[in-house]
Amino acid sequence: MQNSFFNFLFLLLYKHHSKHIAVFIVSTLLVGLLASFMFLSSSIKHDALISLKEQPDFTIQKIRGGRSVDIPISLVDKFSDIKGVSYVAPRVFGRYYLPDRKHYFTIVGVDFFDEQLVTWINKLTKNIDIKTFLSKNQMIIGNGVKNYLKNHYYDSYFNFLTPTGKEKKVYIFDTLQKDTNLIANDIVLVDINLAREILGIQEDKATDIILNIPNPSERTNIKQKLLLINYDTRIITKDMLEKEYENLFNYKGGIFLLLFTITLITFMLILFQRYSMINNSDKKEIAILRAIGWSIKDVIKLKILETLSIAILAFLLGIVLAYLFVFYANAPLFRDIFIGFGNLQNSTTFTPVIDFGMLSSMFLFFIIPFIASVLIPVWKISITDANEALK
Amino acid sequence: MIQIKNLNKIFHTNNQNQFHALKDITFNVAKNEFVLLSGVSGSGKSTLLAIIASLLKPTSGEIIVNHKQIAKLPDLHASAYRNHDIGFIFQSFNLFDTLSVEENVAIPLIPTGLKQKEIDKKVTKALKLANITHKATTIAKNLSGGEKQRCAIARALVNDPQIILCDEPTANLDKENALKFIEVIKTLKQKGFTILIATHDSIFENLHEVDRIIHINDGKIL
Repeated sequence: MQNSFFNFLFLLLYKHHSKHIAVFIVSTLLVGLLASFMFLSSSIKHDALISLKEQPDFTIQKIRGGRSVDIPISLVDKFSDIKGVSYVAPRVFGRYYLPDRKHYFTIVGVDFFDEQLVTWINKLTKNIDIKTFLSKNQMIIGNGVKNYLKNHYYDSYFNFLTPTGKEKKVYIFDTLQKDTNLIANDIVLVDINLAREILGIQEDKATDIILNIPNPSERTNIKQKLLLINYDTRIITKDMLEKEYENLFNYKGGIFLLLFTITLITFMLILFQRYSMINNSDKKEIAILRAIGWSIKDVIKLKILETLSIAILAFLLGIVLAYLFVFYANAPLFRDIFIGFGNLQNSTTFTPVIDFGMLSSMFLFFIIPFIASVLIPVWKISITDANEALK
Repeated sequence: MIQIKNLNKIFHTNNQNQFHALKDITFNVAKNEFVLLSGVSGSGKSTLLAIIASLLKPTSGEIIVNHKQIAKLPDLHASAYRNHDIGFIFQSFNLFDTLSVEENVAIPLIPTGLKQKEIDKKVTKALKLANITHKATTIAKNLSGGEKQRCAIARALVNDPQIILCDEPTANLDKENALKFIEVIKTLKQKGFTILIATHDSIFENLHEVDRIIHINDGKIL
């Protein structure tokens, strides 16, 4: 296509910018809104799936009456005897509800001999001295816990109330790094025995038992063996967790996509109506072009390129704004929809993750109806007698 | 150059509002001829001009321009014909108000595939011919009626057409500007253009350059 055509196209866009500005702004906002949710969803999913990699292959819970209850530690040895199992460890954790009964801390007991857990803690902190940390009544806390304590209690310790009514004063040893906020915002890491005391878990019991099975093809067999030995247990596999995460984010993303589709259709209908009731100056513009020798094809080409330029510019600007909004401004308002309003305030930052496949689909879903909603009315005008339109 | 045979135009056919605008029109225009289509408003002269420019399709009859049948041309050919063979000057000028004079004049050249340099060259030539070079960069809405008219003339000439069609060219002009327009038309006649002007303005009737006056009334040639 020759340069003069583009020169004329950009000239018209520039001279008639006031005519297109409303459509451009609404389009940019729509794209920005959808892209923000997509970026958020991809980023959280990415971080969640990475944290999932640290999870054990199997998590075993004891079930009674359909509820999860504490599991005897004696089972650890039994599980260790199963061939193919490489690592078995009991875990002690639970929720500690604060007096307002709305907020809670997630207490996680740390066993000095639990290598996997110690490695994980070292990743979340800046390689602290675990031995010193565990030697006293001390805790490593997430940033949500830190802020909550600072605002409502003391900033150096907290008095936990045990189920027996005893107060347990625990000092803050360290705070987890900010980039762990997504997964560890409300976490309180304490010595495993202290965790038992705070949560009221007996010495011979644990919340659950975790184990690893290095050979993936063995997992189904070992799961069946475990269920045979312990009929009253529930085994949560890493795959199940992964699917649950996927479903959760896809569900939230899906609801948003539905809302976006409804908004987009409404916008396209408005656009269609705007061009159907095309004003006299637009009509005359097309008629003049036809009268001085432009063919219907030329007029439609001009209008397609005009619409395409607006749509592409709005799309790119929307994407850039969404990127800045999510990854620089940390998506105020929107992030609560994805990471929940429920517990302690979360000031997490999002890892920049861009799903190009999703962006391409979004581009097509946006551009095609956009062009169609403008083009059909323009085509209708183009095929009418130029002489009639000039009157 | 232009042969018109038994031309009829009926608007709203098979309708209660059916209107027979042109009735059995037949005439020829030779090359470099200057023809006036004269008649009162609603007599059908503008419709005739629109059909010659292929802006309207006749209901029946033939129009042959440069040995080409143009009565039933499909859109692509009709627009090419308008673009290459015809320069149309409208009563209300029909300019793009927000564009400058030179930008307006360049519009017919855009779909031709010419390079920007060639377009600029042709625009300069047309502006000179229509005597509007001094207003080349002025926005059309800021022009006077006469200047708008000259801009429209330049646009009509930019593609080097052989035929110039003018529909009531002096209707929106004062006497001074009407006379200036006539001067431009005289130059065009000298340069060999074939000119058809539909008008009811008597200012043209005594012009020495006019070769023939065709009187139209109620869609018929008198």
